[in-house]
Amino acid sequence: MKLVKVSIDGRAVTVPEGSTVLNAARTLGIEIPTLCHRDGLPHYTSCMVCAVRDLASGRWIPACSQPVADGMEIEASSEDVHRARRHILELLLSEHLGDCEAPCRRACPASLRIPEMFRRARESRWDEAARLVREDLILPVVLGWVCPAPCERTCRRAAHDRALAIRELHRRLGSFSDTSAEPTSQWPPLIGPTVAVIGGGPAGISAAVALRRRGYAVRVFERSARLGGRLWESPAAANPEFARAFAAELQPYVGVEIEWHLNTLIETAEELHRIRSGHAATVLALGSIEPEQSRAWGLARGARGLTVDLATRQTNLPGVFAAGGVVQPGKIAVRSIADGQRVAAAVAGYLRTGHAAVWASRFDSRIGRLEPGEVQQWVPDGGPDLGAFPGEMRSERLDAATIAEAARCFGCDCRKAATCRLRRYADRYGADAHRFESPTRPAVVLRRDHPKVVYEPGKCIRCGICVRIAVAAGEPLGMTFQGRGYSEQVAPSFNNGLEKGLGRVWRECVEACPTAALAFREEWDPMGPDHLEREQPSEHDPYPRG
Amino acid sequence: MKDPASKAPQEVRLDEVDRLIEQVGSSAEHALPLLQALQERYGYLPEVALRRIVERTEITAANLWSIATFYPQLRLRPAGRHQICVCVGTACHVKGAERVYEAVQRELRIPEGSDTDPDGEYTVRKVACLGCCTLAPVVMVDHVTYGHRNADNLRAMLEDFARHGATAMADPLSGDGQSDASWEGEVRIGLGSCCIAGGSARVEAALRRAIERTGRRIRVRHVGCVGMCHQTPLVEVVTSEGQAVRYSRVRPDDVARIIEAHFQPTGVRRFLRWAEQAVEQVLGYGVGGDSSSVRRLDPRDGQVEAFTCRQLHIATEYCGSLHPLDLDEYRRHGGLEALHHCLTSRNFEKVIEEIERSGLRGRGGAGFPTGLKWRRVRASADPIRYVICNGDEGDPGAFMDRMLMESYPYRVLEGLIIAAWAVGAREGILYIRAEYPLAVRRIGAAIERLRQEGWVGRNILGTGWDLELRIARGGGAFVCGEETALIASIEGRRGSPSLRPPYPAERGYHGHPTLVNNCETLALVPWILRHGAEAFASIGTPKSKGTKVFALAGKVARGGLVEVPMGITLRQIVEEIGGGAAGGRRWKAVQVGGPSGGCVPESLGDTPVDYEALQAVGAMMGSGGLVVLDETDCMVDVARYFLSFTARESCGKCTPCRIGTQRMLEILDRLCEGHAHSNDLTRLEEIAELTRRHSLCGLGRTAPNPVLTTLRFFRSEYEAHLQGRCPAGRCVKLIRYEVGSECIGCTRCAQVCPVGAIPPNPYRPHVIRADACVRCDLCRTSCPTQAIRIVPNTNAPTVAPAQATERCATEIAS
Repeated sequence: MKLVKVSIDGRAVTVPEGSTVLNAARTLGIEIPTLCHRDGLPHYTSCMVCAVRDLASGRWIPACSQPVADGMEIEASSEDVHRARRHILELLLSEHLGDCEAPCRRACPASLRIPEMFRRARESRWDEAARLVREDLILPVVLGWVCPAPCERTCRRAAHDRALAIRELHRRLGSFSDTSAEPTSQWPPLIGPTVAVIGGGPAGISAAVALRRRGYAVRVFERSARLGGRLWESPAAANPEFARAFAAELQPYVGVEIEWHLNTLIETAEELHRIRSGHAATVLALGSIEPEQSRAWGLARGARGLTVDLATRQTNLPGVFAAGGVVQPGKIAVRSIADGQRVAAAVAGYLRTGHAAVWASRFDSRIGRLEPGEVQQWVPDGGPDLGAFPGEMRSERLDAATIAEAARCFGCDCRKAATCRLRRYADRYGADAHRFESPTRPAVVLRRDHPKVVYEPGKCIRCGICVRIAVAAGEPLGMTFQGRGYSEQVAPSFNNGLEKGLGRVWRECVEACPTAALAFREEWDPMGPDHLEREQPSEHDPYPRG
Repeated sequence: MKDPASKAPQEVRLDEVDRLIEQVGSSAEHALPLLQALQERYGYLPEVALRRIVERTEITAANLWSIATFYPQLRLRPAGRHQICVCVGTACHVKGAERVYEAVQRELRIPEGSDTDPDGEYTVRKVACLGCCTLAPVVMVDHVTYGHRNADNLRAMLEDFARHGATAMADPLSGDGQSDASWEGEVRIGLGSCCIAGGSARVEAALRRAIERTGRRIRVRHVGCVGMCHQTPLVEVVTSEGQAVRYSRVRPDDVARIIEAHFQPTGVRRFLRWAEQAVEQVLGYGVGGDSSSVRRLDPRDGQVEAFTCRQLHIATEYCGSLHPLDLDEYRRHGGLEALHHCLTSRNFEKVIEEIERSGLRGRGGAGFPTGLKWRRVRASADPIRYVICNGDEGDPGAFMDRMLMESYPYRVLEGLIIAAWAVGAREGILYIRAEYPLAVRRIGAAIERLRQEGWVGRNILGTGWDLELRIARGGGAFVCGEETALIASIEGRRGSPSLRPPYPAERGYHGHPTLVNNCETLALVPWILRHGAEAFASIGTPKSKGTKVFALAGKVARGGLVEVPMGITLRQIVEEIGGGAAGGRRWKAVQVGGPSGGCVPESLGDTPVDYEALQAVGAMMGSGGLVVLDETDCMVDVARYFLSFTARESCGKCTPCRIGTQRMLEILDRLCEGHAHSNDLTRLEEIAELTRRHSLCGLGRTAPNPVLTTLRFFRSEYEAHLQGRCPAGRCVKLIRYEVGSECIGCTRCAQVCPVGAIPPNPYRPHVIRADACVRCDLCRTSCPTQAIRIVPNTNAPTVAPAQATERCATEIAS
């Protein structure tokens, strides 16, 4: 076999003649993104995200199909190359019709994994469901009492019959038996210095718990005699049940390397200085702060609250972070809780590297407003409505009615939100779905003419992997390209049903589909975080990494 | 919407389908020809017939379906009894083809969302180009082509078609092909597609009647294209003394007097004719019209002189005097000499070298050195090789290849046979565009003639070399002009390109080395070998040799098909040959190379015709369309026109072309409709660059050229559109019509208005209701006092994006 020598990003490699640039890059451990390529299938060369540049000619070539030539010099990871890939991804995303995340989760400031919560609940996996709400909300029961539930206002099912009782469900799950408690025994051992949190309201509690979950000991300083801060101002707090629920919810966090210092007022600059010098980082979670106070502490502030770096919640003082109402007064409790979690991430990064970690949203494709009637596309995925769910009953029961309610969820989130390669690359290359926005969009379609598979043409990138798999397997009908140009679609031939089109290779096709165009009907990826924690400074990084 | 024509679908008999399969073939490669045969039989592709094909042939369901939905020529819904094709090629576009299309829809009362009238009589569709650019706008009803259409004369066209129907089309292969010394004279009539569209078929019928009346032995000869398409129909009379007189724009009424001017009737006939004339005089009517309407073209006339003197005919050698299918005549003019020489010399190396030395480069657009291509195929170790003649001229605004195949089929074939011999191929395929039925017939007849004479087939000239030639008809997809897509199409796959390398010269048709050359390239080959490489190389510029055929059309005074030496400037072509812009206006730019090319502004008119020089100004030789634009043409609209073409013709395979062209088109649409976003020009440039760099094939890589060149040379027009103004007054959403004080109240405008937007008001100033006006321009052009003006639309529409989304979504839903 003849060998040829090529160089990729300045590194030389010798590969057999006829190898592709992609294979040569793999030999060097250089990763090149691909969507339409699949090992073992013939090249199709359609997506073009594998763009690299041939330095001699300056030409852009698709790495997946281009055979190497002796002496070739390839540029595979420069700013230009990454920009090109980003733009190509942005073209693909400009016609991508689907939601990565469900609208309800987007509306929840704490990003509660709502559809997954329902999926666990409807299968009676109560423990897992309870753990999920605890992880995401920290105080799921208390929030079940006080939260205005922005999630329910965006519930897609509301357009069909009525919104899911999301808040009631997370409250019920949060109060479910012992296993719903924080699994403190599984907390990581302490890995770093102690962090000070000033303020024991929702933001402070959340920051403290989140920091401890990350392996940092915390001291919380609360000026009053009880934790909870503004939570007590909610009308629901008048109910004696609320106090009981709150106490029960806090129980796991007592005596577990989180020191709660009640009746401890930190007021003067001197006192703050003492706290700062005694701790590796300080989180301000006072709920609100008067201008005189912030001036005394030397903190920059705007018209309403402290001035912080939006991505890191860091104040102008080194090592001092702020969360909740001190930044923006009047926040709803769940937003303060979300803020506490964000600040914990930033602080953890700060303690690890000296730079606060940046909290960046993950790429999230959105359908946007639905057209009349489009909601019908989801209806088959939701169970029937058995009449009004007793959302206001504040029942403790996890029963058939709860399961029925959970089963009503449409599952609007993407079935492959974690494994979709388009999303992964969109994150890696920092793609903006709106750069090349189109004024029109086709109707949302979820084809279900297969017992196990759902096909969403709006998520198809026309890579033809399923077409090639069907050809290779000699499927009699097969999936095929229909039409051409912008309106080209992948579809079963002769307007056949999906079951006939995918034939015996349905499983392979679904698994090979790089997006969620083809997905198993009943399977959703486990929902992951909807954000990425990046080490600073990432804005100035010419090649954002995921 | 339910298609009205589907009410009574024609019954499909399976045994008939089986017979078609038997006739056409049943291997995977026959997919497209089978579908074409079905479409010809039923007017569409009935699903039962498609399923039968899957059952009875090697073609898979997936492949058949993907092909049936790929080619625009094929349709899956039943069609009306007659088909109306409105040409929206470049030349037709700039002369208002869109308005003609809208008018056809109005005239036939075609419901929105459908393409067929309620009676199922006519199906209307747009076609990229009918190749009759000098007669723009052109409409074809079944096989009858009508030139110079506008909203006003469409009814006349439909009435004419209803009366004469398909009989208006002469048999293009008739006419006396053979030589005979006893003829007393000859009348030549051009019967290329343009001439037929200009009405030459009916002129011919009149000619034959007139000749019949003289009783003399005068033969009517069909000749190929003369190139002076702006003068069609052309008739040339050659007397026995050899005197030739040419008449232009001949109408059937004129014919009798033309014939009589040259040929006296014989004895009895003379008397009869005299008697006839006497009766006519008595009764007060005549066969002919006013004699002053006969236009005799004097070759010394400055116009003809100018049109012809700059030209140099190599590919179109002996233009206007050869009968397309007269092989003897072709041989008398040096035809087949080159081929004969090749076959007897048996030295292919020398021939390839000759082509290399001539500097011949591909005339399809990219300009790859032809000799080098031949050498690569020849050098292959694979003994099985193929040659393909690329006659899939899909470029709107270009018709050189069509004309060459129609007028000089032997020359194209001779070039192809030489190429096949030089590279050692035993099979040649001519891939000819579906919209060129005449070219298909003439090439087919020419192959048969050559076969009879032993130039095609087994053991040619006793050399032991066999060559089979066949025609593959295209499916009307522009992208199939790209060589890898063309090969895919012939192989019976979707016409999608694939990555090169491997080049077809290494691995092409069925994986064997394949030479793909453009028609015009091949037509130049015999001349080069007859006159020597040096003669060819002495013409042109250092890197671009020989001549180039251009289709000169658009807003030019004298349009037509011209062959010019390389190195001539665009200005010389437009001003000297073409006579500048028509109607005394100034020409603003010339669009070179169609959708892959660019707009060269008048200020750069001295750019020579040369591959590199054209590329340097952002244009491209392309396949040779030259569309002249004048000051009434909007450059944003021109860019949008080309993008709508490439977006429609994109095969849909690679992301940059499939989505990029669509996004660019959307931005251009916004600009032309007056609701562009402030950053749209930046976005446009970004996408253009992306599409240019990353597309898989030449279609996508060159698709942004019309945008990039107009942005470069006419940026101020884009900026005006950003503010909702169209400086040229072309973009219908940005203009309105206004009646000035010159109005004399003649009601002419009210009569021509197709939508009743001008209430008739005799002897009083007229008013145009802007809400009803469709901006068809008829009132303005018919106003005797030029009282109607185009003014900027001060309340240009500002459609909110949300509304736009909603509208389109409902469109899709319905």
